[in-house]
Amino acid sequence: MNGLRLAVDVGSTNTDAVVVAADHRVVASHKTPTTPDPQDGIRVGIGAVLSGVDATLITQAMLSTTESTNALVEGRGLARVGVLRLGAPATLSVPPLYAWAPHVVKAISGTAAVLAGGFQMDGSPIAPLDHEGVLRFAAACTGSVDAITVCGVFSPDFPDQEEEVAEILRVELGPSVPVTSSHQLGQLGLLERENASIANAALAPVLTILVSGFVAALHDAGVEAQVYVTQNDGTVIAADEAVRLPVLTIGSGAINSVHGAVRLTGLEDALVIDIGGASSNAGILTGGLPRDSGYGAEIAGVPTRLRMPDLVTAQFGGGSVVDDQGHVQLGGDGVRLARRRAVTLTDVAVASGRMHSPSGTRGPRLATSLVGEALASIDRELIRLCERTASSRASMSLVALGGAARFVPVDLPGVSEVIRPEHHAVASAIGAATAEASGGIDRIYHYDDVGRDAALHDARALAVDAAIRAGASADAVRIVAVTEAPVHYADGTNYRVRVKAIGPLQEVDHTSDER
Amino acid sequence: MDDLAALNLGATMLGSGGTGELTHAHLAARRALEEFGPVPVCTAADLAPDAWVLPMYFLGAPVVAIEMLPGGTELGTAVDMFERVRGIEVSALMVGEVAGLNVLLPIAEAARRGLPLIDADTMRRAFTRTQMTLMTLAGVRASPITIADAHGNCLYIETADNQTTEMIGRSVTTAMGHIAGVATYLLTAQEVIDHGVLGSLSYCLDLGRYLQRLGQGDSSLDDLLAHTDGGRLFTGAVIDATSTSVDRQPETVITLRGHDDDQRVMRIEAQNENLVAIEDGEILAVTPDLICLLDSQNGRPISTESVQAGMHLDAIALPCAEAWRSEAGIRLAGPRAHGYGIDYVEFAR
Repeated sequence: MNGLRLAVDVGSTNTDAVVVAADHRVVASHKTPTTPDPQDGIRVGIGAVLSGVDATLITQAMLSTTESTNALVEGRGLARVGVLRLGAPATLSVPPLYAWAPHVVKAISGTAAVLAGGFQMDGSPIAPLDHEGVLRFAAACTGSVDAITVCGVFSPDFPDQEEEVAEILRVELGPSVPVTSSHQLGQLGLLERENASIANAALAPVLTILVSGFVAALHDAGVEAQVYVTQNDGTVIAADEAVRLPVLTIGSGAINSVHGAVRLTGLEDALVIDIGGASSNAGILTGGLPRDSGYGAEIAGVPTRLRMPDLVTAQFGGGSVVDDQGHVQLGGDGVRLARRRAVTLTDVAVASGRMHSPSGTRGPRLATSLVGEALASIDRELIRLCERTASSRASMSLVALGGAARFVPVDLPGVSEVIRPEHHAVASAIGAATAEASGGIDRIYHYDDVGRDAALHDARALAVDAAIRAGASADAVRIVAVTEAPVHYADGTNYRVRVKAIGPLQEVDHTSDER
Repeated sequence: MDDLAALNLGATMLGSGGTGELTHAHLAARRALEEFGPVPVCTAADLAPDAWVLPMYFLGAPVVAIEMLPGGTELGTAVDMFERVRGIEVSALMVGEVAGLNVLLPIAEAARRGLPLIDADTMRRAFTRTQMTLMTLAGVRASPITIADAHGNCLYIETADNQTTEMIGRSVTTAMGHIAGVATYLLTAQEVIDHGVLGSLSYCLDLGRYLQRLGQGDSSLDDLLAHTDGGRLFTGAVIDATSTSVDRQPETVITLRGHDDDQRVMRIEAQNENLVAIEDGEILAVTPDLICLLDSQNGRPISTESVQAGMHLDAIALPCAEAWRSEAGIRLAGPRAHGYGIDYVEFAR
């Protein structure tokens, strides 16, 4: 028997909660303002969405939130991190933490060191590992850091040294100081992998608090379910994996609505716009999946190599303030900052007849010219958003989602049709509730040694394993992307192989549980 | 510092797809500028005619450059040894190749040394082989060459011809782990005026600024092409990107299907840099002209290795430096020099 899924999406303005059946039918949904401590809003959402639903039927619960991104941008709630890089005398042109914002470096400040060690592309050592240096680093970290990262050159291909050093540090510092080995984050590209590892270590307390709070809220509501957290490509990972690898949850908020669009409309190819309270995101669906941007994500200005979906963000939303001339103020905190009752885009949309008032009451009376000007400018922004996102000249359908989706006009030039599905307001939570699990691999193979077919076979198998470890059902995992890029100017046939695998979440058999 | 961001973009474009990721080089240059101050850029005419100018490059595999980052001492070691063995003092440095990290890392070295950079280079684009320079056409010797790694290992090598310089240089680079700093093609300021490509850095910066405006939506691709006398080759979606190794030479073939007309198909052949663009058996553009792929959405130049099926790209051509179009230039760096049995044709505007 298939159980129900509960998902909570904590956005910057609103917290949405949904309960969804195995066939993706929406059983219940609720929207409540996001609270300063997100846990409060989460509890309200869970309580509201479970009224009328038997909590014991929930088998899987998902959490999606922008907390990780916010914490990194603001330098809030982060762990102090000791950063160790193995690769001297190479790599010294850009030291660890160089690109990070000063206020964040201060927040995570610990010790940073670059020691002799690491490997060349062919596995020969750059320099003998500086064992003494590792012990000195451990001593310097004692009592002054909460977590440590170790990043060795070419560790994704030769992970043993990183593991050996991580083990030494664990012994020296004890179990209360977790050590992240960068090769677990899998990507080639030293700075990006190092930054992802540092972000990972720094976010440990943020995720621990978030997940334990979510689990407690579920428990208090009578829900006993497998808990997942959405990651930055819109797929989910098991909650304990999220606590272990929190960096994967960065940027997960925005992408869920694109997945939600697939579930709600059944469309596999479309433009998706999610209009929130303060900002709007646009993305493209191709073959049922959001398009990958291909570039590494920059988090708080720091380059990482996280797989990121291709999203364009615009700084307008339902709460954006409109001035007396009808000009929409882009960016800023919208309604939250306005002390007197400011005119917002939602007011304009209501006054123009594009939407009914969300609160049911009549909004302020507005001059026709103001309404006209505001609508015209917002339509221009929408068209611009579509153009920036869609690179195909063939018209696509536009799926409008989010709380303020109703002010997207029925007709928009450049778009073949505008679809506003039922439950558009909670599309993000629906995307989270119906998310799949994914895994990937990125490494260099020496085709001369193993042969191309064997290498690709191995890479595919590793990606499938990664997807299954992430929670995908073993018999339904599919490979969604395989890329091979030759390694140039190097003797031999060396290829950088990237494989991504995705699969629906392993179903939990509810009937076998003892109650 | 804003110059750096523009130079980064321009250098990527001039790499014709062969640059790989440049974040680390950008950061290294920024750090050096922060520590040592700005780098003056001068023209060759600003120097005494017999003043020494030393071009610098990095050789190696782009994937190694992003993982085993430069230590930051390679170019310095190479220049130091050059000066010591030759008994000279260098008045200005020069980027050997105005593309990719070979623009950004020499800036870091110039900052460190407190020497100016000459607004010139030897190719006005990227080429796989270091003998493919206008210096070679002019009979200027690449030898001697110094090659250094991050450990302070350095070789000073004299060779009989420029092709051998390239071959030995690459051998040593492989032994050093596929990345090394190189100083070569020692020139006098007068030789730079006579044989170098003048204005390369300015050109790169200018190109980068246009790309910035394109990315911000403040300019169009047509503007950029008009400004650079470039040409639009094709706009479409990548349907295939495969790479094979022939005699250890990577060959990448990218196939695009037309955006406006999906019956049209274009093929780009690359060996690190994009070298030939063909549609329906007709050569649209070919080396030594530059063939660049830009992301249709934001105008960013895309490196060949990151091209994936499904990407929407604009393929454009930029004219090479005029000197490449001579008979000798085509012989050195044209299609046949890269192994393609076709003749050079200029692209259409």
